[in-house]
Amino acid sequence: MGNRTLSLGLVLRALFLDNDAYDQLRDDDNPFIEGLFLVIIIGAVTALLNLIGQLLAWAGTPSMSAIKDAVWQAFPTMQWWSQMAGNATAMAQFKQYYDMGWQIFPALFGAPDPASAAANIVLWPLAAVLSWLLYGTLAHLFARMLGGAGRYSQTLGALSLSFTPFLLRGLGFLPYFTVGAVMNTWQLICRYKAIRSAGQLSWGRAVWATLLPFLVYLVFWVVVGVIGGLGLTAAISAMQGR
Amino acid sequence: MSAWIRTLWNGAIFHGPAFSGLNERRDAFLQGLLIVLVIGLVVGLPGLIGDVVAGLRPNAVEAEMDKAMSEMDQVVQQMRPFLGNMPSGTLDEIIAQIKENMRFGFDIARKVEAMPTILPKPIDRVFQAIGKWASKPFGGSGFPLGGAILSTWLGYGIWVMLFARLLGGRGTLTGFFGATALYAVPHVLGFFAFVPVLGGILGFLAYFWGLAIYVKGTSVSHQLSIERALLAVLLPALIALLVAIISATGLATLIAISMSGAR
Repeated sequence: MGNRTLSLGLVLRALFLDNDAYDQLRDDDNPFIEGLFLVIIIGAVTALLNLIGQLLAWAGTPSMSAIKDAVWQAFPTMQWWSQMAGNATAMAQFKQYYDMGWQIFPALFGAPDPASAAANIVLWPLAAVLSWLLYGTLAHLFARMLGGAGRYSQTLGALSLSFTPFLLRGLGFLPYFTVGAVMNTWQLICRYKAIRSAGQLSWGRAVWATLLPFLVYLVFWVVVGVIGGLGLTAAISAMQGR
Repeated sequence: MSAWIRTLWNGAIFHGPAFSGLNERRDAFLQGLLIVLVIGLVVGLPGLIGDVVAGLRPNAVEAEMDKAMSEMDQVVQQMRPFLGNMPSGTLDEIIAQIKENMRFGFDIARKVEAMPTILPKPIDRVFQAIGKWASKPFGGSGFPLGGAILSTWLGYGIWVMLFARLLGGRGTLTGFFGATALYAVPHVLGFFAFVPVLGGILGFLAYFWGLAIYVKGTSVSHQLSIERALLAVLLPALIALLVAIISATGLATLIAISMSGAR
């Protein structure tokens, strides 16, 4: 059993960009395990806190199906309704879109959903671990190419501290609280700090090693988009050829 | 607390030691975060009180509907001179349609309001007001450094930091964020945003005052001349504007080419 470096103090110091916090986790005897533990804990604890806020908001909101019915019952007061009511096909189509809309829009507009919030206790740590490993691997490769000295486990260990801004999600225990883009920007800054510490790079090289993984993501999505577009075009032309 | 407020005041009046003091602190980033967060929350207080009071009124939906309808009438009266070419009958029809849709929305809101909930309605409304107020400093800003908002302080800050470094700056990331956070101080004037006319004027004043403080903070933390610091602060916005113009022109050209090719 190795030494335990992680502590609440270290996490807070990393959140507030203290260089020593990143160096300390980098120099741990098993930075990967400590990092993995931290990423999972941040995901799970913030999801739990968020669940409290979602439950409180849900308790203060009428049932979604009752709202859906109320909207449907109000439609006949609109002028256009009488024109559409005579056309059975149009009515059926409208009802279909209406039902579909109610499956999509409440979630998009932030309607309280305790079931999804509960699922996040598993999903957030899982997504965080995947993002940590994927970004960490790419960032480590680029850092090495740029002359970085750190081991893979050191890069991952230091990068786990870049998930500390996600603690802001924990403020979601306040119902109706939302965090905007600040979390991702803050994480980017922490990633720069982590990569610089792990690779012991100059600031310029650390900036490149931080940003280049996003270029890989962009290229990947462009390639997926082009292949998807070509596939769709081929499918449509094949259907027209029949 | 009084020392903290003195630092904020000294920052607002461009007193150099306020900036260098924050820049050199080990917890500069935390201090900067607290400045932006606290000012963001203070500015939101009148909104919080207004929302709580409005939410606890017995006929909240009716009051909201009357307010929205009278605001709509005001907007239409203000716009009438600019709609000279539009026949008044058409305009009246459009307004009637919009009002019908608004009434439809409020009708549903009234029904939803009457539906039962597990939590008493007043408690939920207070929760909503607090949630909205607490979220404000964590939200987005329509304009770079356009308020005491964390995302613009960090999001715009990383670009300024980069340009300051490229222009020869020697500041640290934490020191830079600490010193530039003082830009948020004039935004405390946003507290009076609810006052008609005066609120807008104070907001305008706060923006440029905050921008000047931001330039001073950049200059002190990076040990750059004011001219270079100004360049570092403006370049990210200018480059973003240039990229937007080039993209829009390129897109418009592509559309024009494809349309002429289709003929």
